[in-house]
Amino acid sequence: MNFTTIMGGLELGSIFAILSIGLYIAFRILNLPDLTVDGSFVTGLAISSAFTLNNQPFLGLIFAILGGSLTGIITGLLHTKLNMHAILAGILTMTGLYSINLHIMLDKPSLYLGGYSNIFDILKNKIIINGYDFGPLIELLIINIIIIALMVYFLKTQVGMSLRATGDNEAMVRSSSINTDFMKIMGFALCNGIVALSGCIYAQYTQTATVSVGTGMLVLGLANIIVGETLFKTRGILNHLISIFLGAIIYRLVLTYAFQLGLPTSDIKLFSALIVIVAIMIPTLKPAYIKWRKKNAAN
Amino acid sequence: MLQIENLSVIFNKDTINERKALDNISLELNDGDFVSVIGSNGAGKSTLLNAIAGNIEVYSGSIINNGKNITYEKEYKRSRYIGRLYQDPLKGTAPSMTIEENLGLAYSRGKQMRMGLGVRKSDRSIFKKSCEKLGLGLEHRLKSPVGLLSGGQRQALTLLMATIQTPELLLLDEHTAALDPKTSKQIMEITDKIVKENNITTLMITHNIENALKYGNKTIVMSNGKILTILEGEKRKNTSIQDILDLYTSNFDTLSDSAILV
Repeated sequence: MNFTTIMGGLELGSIFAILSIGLYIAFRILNLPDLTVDGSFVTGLAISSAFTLNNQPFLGLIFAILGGSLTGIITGLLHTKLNMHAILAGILTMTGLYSINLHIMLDKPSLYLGGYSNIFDILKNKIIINGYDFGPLIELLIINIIIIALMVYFLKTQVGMSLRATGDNEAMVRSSSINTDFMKIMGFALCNGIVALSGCIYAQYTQTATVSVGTGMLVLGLANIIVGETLFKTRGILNHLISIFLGAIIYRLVLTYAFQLGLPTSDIKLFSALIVIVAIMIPTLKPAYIKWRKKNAAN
Repeated sequence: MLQIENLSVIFNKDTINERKALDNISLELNDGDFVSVIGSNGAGKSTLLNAIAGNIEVYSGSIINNGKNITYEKEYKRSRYIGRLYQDPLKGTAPSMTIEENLGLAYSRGKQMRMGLGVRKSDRSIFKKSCEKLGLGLEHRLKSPVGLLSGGQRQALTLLMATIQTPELLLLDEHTAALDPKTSKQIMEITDKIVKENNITTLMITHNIENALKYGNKTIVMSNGKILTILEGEKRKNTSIQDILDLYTSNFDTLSDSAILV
């Protein structure tokens, strides 16, 4: 792997780390895998490109977060008020979003954003080491640090604690006079707001927006989370979030390396799915294997 | 004061499994009453508590707490003034959160939710003091996750959480049944102390007849969704465990007779 591809991997990894940090709220805190992510990532991307085409990349960031939160609120309402299974609610929102995302992208399946100003212009060509522009990476790291810091603080506030407890023991939260429906809707909104932010940054980074890019984003996010958790096995919210960030980076570097070795780019989704399956398989099959060995040793 | 008027709860209405869990029950608890509820399985004790707490739907009748009709109020709204303990020690606490975080959630009960940290420095000293009262050494472990505590410690913590903001009504659903005899006795004594100190109106379900007669000032005997008798004062003092057992069996006989007739 040469220096440029490693740097590219680090940059993409940091973008998808944001996605995984958002997904962490739904998947780990609320214990509800949220399929809306596949749609809300593109919502962020679409809103971002619409604003970038009007030379307003920073306003695009804010509206991407708002748009993403709105998709989360819809899934949350379907799940809590209509008693739908969280997965079905997510699928419905995600499917509906496909059309909406297309409309936001001016009814074009893909847009090219090259030549317009974007959020990476601030540090562009300011920090050049070894002939490579470190601006984008530093900016992405700063965004990640801000998000992780805000998240750690938020989860320790009263609202954040109620959110954590909702995923942990719903009955107990209700008997502490907290509206668990509201907490879940808020969790979904936060999750998808952050995911949309990640989509928005992705569009500005690649300078393209494609409506189909969202497929498999949930699985990619899960892969990042699981890689981080398996490698670092940490406790506490801050450590957990840092491990997810590192997981996303490591996963992306492994992918980049695999591409170098000749893995076709079209196999990326299969690769993500297999990683998640294997990571979930190991803790389940390990006790069975130990039992099997004990049994054989006895005979 | 809690007034229950002609309360009925019917499960699986209009199906072949229809069952009257509570049959036209009326009951009045005065402020500071500590009432124990006993009765065989299926007598409707837990249904009564669930109906008061609001997690099952009432078929008819009304529940009035301090003059306010709460029959159709949502569960999470009622829990502002109703504290509750379950039989399962795991049910009342959030395992992956620390002791102080659990207490912090309970401490904010009924108050407007605020931004800012959930556990403040000033809260911490209050939590420490209340944990010391339990005498279980929890005050030294405020930062450990609740999942690491034993069942008895978790139940004691749940009790503390239910009463850290003095509730108008405390519902205890066999809260010592899953604990070993020694811990069970300890939790029962802590319960009694907290209830007396804060003069909390309490309804306690138990299968331990000795406890039912020993603690509190009234005992309700239930059977088949109805209240058989309410024991209080002198009459309660002179009731022995055998008397209660006789009451169970005599009632059971009439039941089996009618079952034979059908």
